[in-house]
Amino acid sequence: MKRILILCLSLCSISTASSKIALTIKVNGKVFVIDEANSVKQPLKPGTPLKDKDKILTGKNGFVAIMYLDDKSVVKMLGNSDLTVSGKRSGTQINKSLDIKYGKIAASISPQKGNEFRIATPTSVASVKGTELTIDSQPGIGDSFTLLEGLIEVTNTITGESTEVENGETAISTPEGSLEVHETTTDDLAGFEDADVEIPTQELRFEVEDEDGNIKEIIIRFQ
Amino acid sequence: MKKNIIFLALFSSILLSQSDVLIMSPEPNSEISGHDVLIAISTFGMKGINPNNIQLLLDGEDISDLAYMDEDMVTCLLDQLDPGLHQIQIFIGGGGPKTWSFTTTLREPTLKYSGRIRSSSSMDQIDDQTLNISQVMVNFKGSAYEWMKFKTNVKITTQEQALYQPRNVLGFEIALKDYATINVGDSNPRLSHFTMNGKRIRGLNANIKWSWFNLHFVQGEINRAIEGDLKKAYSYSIDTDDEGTKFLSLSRNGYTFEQNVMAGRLALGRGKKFQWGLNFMKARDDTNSVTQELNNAEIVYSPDATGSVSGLDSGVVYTISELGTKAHYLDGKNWAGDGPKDNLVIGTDLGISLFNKRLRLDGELALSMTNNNIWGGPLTLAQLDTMIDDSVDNKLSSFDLSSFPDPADYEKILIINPNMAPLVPIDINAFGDNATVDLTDAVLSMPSLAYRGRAITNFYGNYLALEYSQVGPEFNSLANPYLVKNKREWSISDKFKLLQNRLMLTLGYKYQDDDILTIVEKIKSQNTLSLGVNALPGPGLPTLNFTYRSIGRDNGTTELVQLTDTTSTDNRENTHTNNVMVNINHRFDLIWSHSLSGTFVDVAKEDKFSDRADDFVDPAMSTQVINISLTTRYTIPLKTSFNFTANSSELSTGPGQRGTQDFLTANFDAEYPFINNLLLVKGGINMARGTGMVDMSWLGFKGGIRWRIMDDFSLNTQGEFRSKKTGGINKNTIIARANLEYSF
Repeated sequence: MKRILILCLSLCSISTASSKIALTIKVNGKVFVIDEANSVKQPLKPGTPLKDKDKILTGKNGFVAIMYLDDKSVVKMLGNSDLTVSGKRSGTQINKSLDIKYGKIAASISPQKGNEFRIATPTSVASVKGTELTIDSQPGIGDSFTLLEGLIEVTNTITGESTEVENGETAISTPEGSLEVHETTTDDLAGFEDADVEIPTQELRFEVEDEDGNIKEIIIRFQ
Repeated sequence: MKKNIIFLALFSSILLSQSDVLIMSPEPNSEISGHDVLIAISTFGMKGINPNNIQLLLDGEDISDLAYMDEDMVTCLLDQLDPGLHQIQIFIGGGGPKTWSFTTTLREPTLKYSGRIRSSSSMDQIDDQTLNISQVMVNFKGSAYEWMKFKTNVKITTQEQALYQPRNVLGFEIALKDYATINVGDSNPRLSHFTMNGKRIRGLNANIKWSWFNLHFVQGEINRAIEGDLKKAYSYSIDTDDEGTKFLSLSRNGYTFEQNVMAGRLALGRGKKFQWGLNFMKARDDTNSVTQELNNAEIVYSPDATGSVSGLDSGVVYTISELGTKAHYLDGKNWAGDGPKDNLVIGTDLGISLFNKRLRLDGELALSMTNNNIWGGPLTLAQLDTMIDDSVDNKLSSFDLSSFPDPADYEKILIINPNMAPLVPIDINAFGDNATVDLTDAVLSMPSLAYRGRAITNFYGNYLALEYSQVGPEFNSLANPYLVKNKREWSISDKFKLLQNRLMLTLGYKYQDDDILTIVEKIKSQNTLSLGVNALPGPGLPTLNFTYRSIGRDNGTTELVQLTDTTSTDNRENTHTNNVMVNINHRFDLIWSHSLSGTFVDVAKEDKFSDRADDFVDPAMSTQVINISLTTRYTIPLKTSFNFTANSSELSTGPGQRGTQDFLTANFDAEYPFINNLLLVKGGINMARGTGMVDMSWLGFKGGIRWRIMDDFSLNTQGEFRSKKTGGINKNTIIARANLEYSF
């Protein structure tokens, strides 16, 4: 009951009906949200709505998953990350963008009807229409965009060079201006284990028949 | 009134039917932990929602009072649910309920793992050279009990040979929460920018963190010992012993010493706002790791001007064991090739972040001491005194050496002998009453000193960076061999982000020179000014990128060098290069989806001296490049890409001569997926034609498939054939690659 009261209070204090764009669906460890309007930093709880320009910070073991209200696009933040979620409500859609200051982000973006999902870091800008990807942004080192599904266009903002990144590829964009694409390796997804992006759950089904002719199914799900 | 209610109910149901609720959590038929269960639906975009008319049921029990409801969403967080199947029903407005089920389980499994095995083979036949490589990579990682993570990194390749440094990779990592990370085998430790910064080490790499305390320790092997090619392992000369008998004096060749390293970093501070670190790195070649007598090594004997060795026939190949007493082995200090090295680096670094990391300051300072040949061991204090300054015993400049420690006592830390570089790390003329060099200048120009500092601010979309660094000509870290030496530079750059990241402006300036030592007379310098504009206006509109760089280079020489035979040589260098790049990208739909890109590059380098001799090799040059590419995605779903590049250059081809070279390349590639993307077939054709200084052309074909045999098992193959004609001679290139990948 205490948790529900806290949740209700935080919902009341953080949200305003007109500007909600996403919902916090999972939180582990230390995660905070900073309201752009009053710069107040509060712990983020599951169920908390998020508004345009809300900044989310995760501690070293923190994890948070948020889901946009219009199309269930999911953004997961891993530890030591700084992200500002943005979205402009337009009819039945939300025009979305993420501003990553640093950290590890995994996103599963639903197809955007006529719009682009823009992801900006200090080094790069990515234009996304519908895809599943991971982003590792480290100022001073650069960004790594790994595509698990779909297609994105990455632009290095130092040189303006752009490249398309496809399923199974990783783009490395550096503050020195280089932008390279290579086939994704295990190292590119290191650190994203907690985001459950690497191996989708697979299923084995066996049908067994007993002496009476009844058929039953055994389902084994594994990763 | 009743009519109005009926009308409102009807209107509400019509509006609600326009858009359905979105189930956000838990997913229908999903299996989740029973702890902290969030039930959430989105009603975003639905009209006529009245939160007061929403009812939420879990397993038939009304939990509306526990839920938060408004016109956009319904959420309810439940602490704990019993394991098993659960059903949610939500009633909105007058329509029927939205119903779905999910299953809760006990705690999540304590052991998770995944991995990937990849094997690849390649064959490259380029002109007359053929290179075949096969390798297997095994990556395995997992976690246990939420506090332990483990990871392996293994690569076995046919490139592994005893003649070279390891190409195989054998690494294992275990991490205990954030408190400790231990790597055994191959790893790439990073201690600091100057001391150790990512070079592969084989051994132990351990990192321990506890609150503000951080300890990083590395011990292992930078290089393994390599005896070298047995046919080239010795060179010889013919000498005569005291009894007048001729013999072969054998010197070892083509070897590499085992190089061992121990390094550490002690840092205080968590690093979020402050961290101060002390670093050291100690590396030394093991002089016992290379064998003096290699019995199976061979030499080809032939007498020389000093005579011949009795019992050996000219032109005959002898193994070392066959030579017996006819060969003497030189001591290591007389071997050809690089001597064994000893290296010590000590340093400190500091990092500060303020204003929520919007202001970052960091810097590092490191001093190295290097001995380039430790054969013979260390000098004593007396030997050192004599070697550096033999005018007065026990005196070195103004220093009284009698109270100095004997360097021979510290040979475990560093072997000090005449091969030290530098022998004295600081100019001794900066000390004493009669000092001729300013002490500050002497410190800042120490040849084996490296330091850097950086300040970065990030306020209001304005990313400003100021950097300064200097690496002395004698600074050396064997664990960081790729560091550029004898370079001093400072730079400033500013990046503005405007219009919500849709317009970016970048301005930068960098100055580099080698004015580090106080004795430098002719300073080589380079100035680089850069400007960048990137416009990314938004969907449906083209992106524009413009970059301009101005580079000036000067080697400090302004006069011709007069030679003794009344001629002169012209070593002057003073050039200016303008580099302009314009790029436009546009994605558009015209029947199909297209991405069109056009790039123009112009590079013009001019010589600032106009009084060159006629036969001077002119550094001036100009290059123009035009590139157009079009990628099209068809609905069927074929993807094609066409790329055309024209390059024209004009440059010096020798003393007093200039020439031009034009180059055209074009390629067309296509790919088509079959069987729901399980099979992707690729093919392409490419051609090139070059005219001018070199006439050449080629025509090539390539093809390949990517076949996802199962969800976790795939095959990727590709091949390319290219027929090339250069200067009237035909040569072919064949490239073939195949790899298999299995994930688990």
